[in-house]
Amino acid sequence: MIEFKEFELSNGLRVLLHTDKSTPIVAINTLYNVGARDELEDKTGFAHLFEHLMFGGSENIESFDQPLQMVGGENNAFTSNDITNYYITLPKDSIETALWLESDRMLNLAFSEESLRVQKNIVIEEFNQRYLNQPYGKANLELRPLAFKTHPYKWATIGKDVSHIENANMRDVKDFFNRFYNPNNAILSVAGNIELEELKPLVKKWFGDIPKGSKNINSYKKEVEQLAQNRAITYDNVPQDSIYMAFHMVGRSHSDYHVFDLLSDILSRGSSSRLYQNLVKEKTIFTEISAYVTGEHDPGLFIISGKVNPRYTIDEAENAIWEQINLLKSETVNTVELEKVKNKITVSLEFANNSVLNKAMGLATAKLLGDPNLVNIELTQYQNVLLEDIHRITNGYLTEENSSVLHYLRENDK
Amino acid sequence: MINRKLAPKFTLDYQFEYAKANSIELKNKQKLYYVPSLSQKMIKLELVYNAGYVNHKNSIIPTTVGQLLFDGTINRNSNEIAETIEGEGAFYDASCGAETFSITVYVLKNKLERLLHALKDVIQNANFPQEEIDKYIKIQKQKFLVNNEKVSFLTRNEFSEAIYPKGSSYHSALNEDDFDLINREELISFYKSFIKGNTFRVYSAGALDKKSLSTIDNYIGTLVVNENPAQSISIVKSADDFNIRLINKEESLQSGIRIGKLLIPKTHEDFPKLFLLNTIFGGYFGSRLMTNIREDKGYTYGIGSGLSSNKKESTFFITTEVGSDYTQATIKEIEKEIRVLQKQLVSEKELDLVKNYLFGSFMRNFDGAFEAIDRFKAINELGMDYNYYEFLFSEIKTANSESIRETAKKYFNFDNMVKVVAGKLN
Repeated sequence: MIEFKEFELSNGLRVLLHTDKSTPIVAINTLYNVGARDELEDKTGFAHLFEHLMFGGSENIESFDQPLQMVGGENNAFTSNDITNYYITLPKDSIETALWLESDRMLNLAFSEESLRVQKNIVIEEFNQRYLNQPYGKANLELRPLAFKTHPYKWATIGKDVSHIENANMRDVKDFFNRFYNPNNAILSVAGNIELEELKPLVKKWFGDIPKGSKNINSYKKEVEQLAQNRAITYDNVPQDSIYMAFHMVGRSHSDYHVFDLLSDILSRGSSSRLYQNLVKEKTIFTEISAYVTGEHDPGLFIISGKVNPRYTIDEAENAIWEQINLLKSETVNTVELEKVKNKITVSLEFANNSVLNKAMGLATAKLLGDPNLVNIELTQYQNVLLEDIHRITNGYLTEENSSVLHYLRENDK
Repeated sequence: MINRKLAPKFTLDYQFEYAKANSIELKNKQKLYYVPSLSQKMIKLELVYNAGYVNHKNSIIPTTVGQLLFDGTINRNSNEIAETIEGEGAFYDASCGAETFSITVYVLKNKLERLLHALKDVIQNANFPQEEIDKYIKIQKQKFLVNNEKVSFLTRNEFSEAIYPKGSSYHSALNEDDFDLINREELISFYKSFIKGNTFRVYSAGALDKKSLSTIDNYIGTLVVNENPAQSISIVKSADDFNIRLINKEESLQSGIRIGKLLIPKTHEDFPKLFLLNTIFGGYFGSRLMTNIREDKGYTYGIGSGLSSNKKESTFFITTEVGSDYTQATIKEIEKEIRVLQKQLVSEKELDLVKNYLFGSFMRNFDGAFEAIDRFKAINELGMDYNYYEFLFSEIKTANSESIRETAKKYFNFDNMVKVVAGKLN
């Protein structure tokens, strides 16, 4: 049970606290309700580029990192399709430094041209390192536009194309900041060795005078219903063929979200999972296979992907996956399989909740989704999944017309 | 109005409390070290054996024993083992490092007994079925081909080959042909010589009440233990070619770079200063390498350096992936940063910052039972006790700019560092 208290400042900043006196550490998580889904189609990758610029100094403080390191702190951030999330862990006695730094960059950035130029370079190298220069690294970039036709989930967080990052200019940067980096568009979540009486005045002191701004109403296009299968083939310099099959699923707040998550575990989590046992170990059609949910707040994707044993064709491999899906539809998953993945989730959640940082992050995300207490009922939501639920979503969603299939093939097969 | 230009006052106390491991002797005289945390529902249990790839001329044999340990016993096949253990929600892993072999499980307290029942079977009765070996080899060969497309893997593997060349006990770099050396007889022979019936240590943390401890003793404490063969780390060959070793990948957008050398082990009295020097140089986000090569030049998404320790030495390494056009420029800057540390004194401000940052990171790294047992394992495996940490903390506290410069002169000799590039040498 993660106990929490919450309050809101008059400028709309929502604040959450989980007190844990057993640790000498405090974690401070600042979530902004802005992600790649809020970008324009000709300026993708911007939310993530912006995250980098948040470390380039703010109006009153030249460097973000140095004062934090000086008090024993460490920090990082990530951007997803839905949110941009900044986090700090530091010794409890240094907490005010973190609030000072985090509040000043919420108030205003330094907007240095030099910082923009260098961070664009760094992000382009990140694009290369994580996607373009990795075997199969382009799969995610190609699968998204195949599956999504209107929703901004059709581009990856890193962006659609390197040129979008190259073209970013200071005016875009300032507009973006003014639009999204406002207290009423943020959630501050603190976990660790601090009480509410101590935290509240400090938060008021540093964040209280930041003016209210616009709030993100997430006004992008929703996805149109898919009526027929999407297919694509791409060639790359890779040693073996691979396949990616994506199915539209439900969003994070939907009651079926946990059903999809458990289904992906039944299919591929651990050595005793279905796809691994049947397609890797027994039939040896694949050398690796996995099923997972992309986890977005709006309806995202349920993906099955695998690398094909070179002795089989890509079509044989795809058929083998459909066979497994059809098996799920005709004969129900058994109780033992379901209990197993529930037990595994229990251990994973237990482990994750060891860290104050995970607790702070979990609370902030849950608050954005509508209720911080979601962190406490999550396990029950998994425990409540029934065999019928698995059967129902398999039949309802893992269908040909709801699928997008990408064949990612060796160049020399062309 | 508050003055936002002024940093809030802070006090950073270098003294902090951390949990220390308890120990008990199991029925079979093996030691169990543990850090209890009764608010947990979960237990981590790790058995460590004196069995590493130093114990075999082909490192692929011991590492494969790790990979296939859970893939069959005389009582259960691979799937039955996985079903039994995963059925309880537990996570398991076996892996073989240079000097030790480790078997780790995470399990809920109320599932402990059933898990240990299966685990004991695996440790005593593993039989490495031929069918599993054949499948494993095929899959690993494919994974190797995929890895060979990654400049990060190519540089790491080539660096390892250079630091520990073929013929030295620590050699572990992989070739595609190595997978053909895997055979059942040698796997079983290694398992029987170094694991089954051998002495071990147990490191555990989490929901360890009296009952859990006695359950562990009933299963792990009744494993049969005989005499151990002595671990011989005999052959050490060192690198002698310090020119750039290039793995050419013309089409690559980025080059992987790895530079480094063998240095003193953790047990050496200079190690704390070397550790501090490494932090300044490339060991944290604000390091010299990151500030210059990422934040100033924008050549890379990340660059860092580290020290990984064995019993007799540690490997110092600098690692990065940079835009191909910046390969030469990056190597020059790395060399420059080393020379600067050897010539100029680190400022008081930077030294204070790094010391403070490190104490913050120690507090984080010792926080919680699972962290605490890992910190204990790290010293215990090298034959040291908690005095080491006291020594480390006090050495860092008292280090000054002169001693940092001396340490850089003594240990950071760029000219005899191994240099590996995978990509383009532009």
